[in-house]
Amino acid sequence: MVVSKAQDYYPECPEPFLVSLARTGDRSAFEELVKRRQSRVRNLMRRFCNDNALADDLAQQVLLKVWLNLRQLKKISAFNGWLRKLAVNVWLHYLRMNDALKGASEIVGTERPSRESPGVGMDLDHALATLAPTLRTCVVLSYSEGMSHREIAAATGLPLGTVKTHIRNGAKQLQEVLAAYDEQKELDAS
Amino acid sequence: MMTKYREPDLHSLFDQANRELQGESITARVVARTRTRVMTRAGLALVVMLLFLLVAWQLLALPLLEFAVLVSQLLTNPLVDLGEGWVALAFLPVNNFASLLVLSTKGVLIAWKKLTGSSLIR
Repeated sequence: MVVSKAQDYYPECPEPFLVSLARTGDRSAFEELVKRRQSRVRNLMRRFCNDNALADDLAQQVLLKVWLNLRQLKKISAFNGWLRKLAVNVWLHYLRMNDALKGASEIVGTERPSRESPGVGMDLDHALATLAPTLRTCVVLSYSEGMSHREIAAATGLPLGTVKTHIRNGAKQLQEVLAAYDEQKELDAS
Repeated sequence: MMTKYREPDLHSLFDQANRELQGESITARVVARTRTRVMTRAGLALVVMLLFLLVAWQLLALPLLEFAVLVSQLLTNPLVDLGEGWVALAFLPVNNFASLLVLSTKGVLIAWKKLTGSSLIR
């Protein structure tokens, strides 16, 4: 008779169950949680920083923070929002540590070819890189994560009015850059 | 300039960009880092505990030793001065504070048992 371990069933377990197991220190449950969530966290970080290696490093930091602070999560149902907040905090901390303006000038105009990113993601990331870090953060949280203005204000610590302005201006700037890309592509094709 | 990217287009663009990424290696790295972190924390806790013990030893060892010597001297003090003859030698085991304490405790326990029928010590 083959005896299955409880861990064998983790891939089929609902996420709240895994979160509660991981909170008790179950590393296998945490591992399954990371498997499920890593893609989303890495995508968010890639939108933020336009550098796949850095994004993966920051995503690792976020996931490690999840393991270290999971006991502080009061409601298991709030895991999604909590994880997103951790990701935003790690990104904002990175910006603060690396001087936002210096980082922006490094990213703007820098070609970072990546074999991993397909066309759309790469175009978008390059276009996002032209925005100032705070604008980019607000735009990504709004369009990629679907967060409300109020949630973004709470996550970033920016005033609500500033968040609204950043999203409006950022989206407009992004649309212009993306349109310019398309025009350039059409010109190249013809 | 009017652009062809409208608000809903930006949403769909972000949706398209968020593709599923393979996660075996990052999962392995994160899990390995959690292990390292746990080991580091345990090691750090051990070092802090050892340091604490060392400092406590340095600060308290001498006063504690002096206190222990004082207590032992007090407990072995003779209750009655019987000189240095064979009588003093015969009564030496009981002629001190320690014996008085032991005997009086025993007496209280016996008396308690006689009076109440139950033992003070379970």
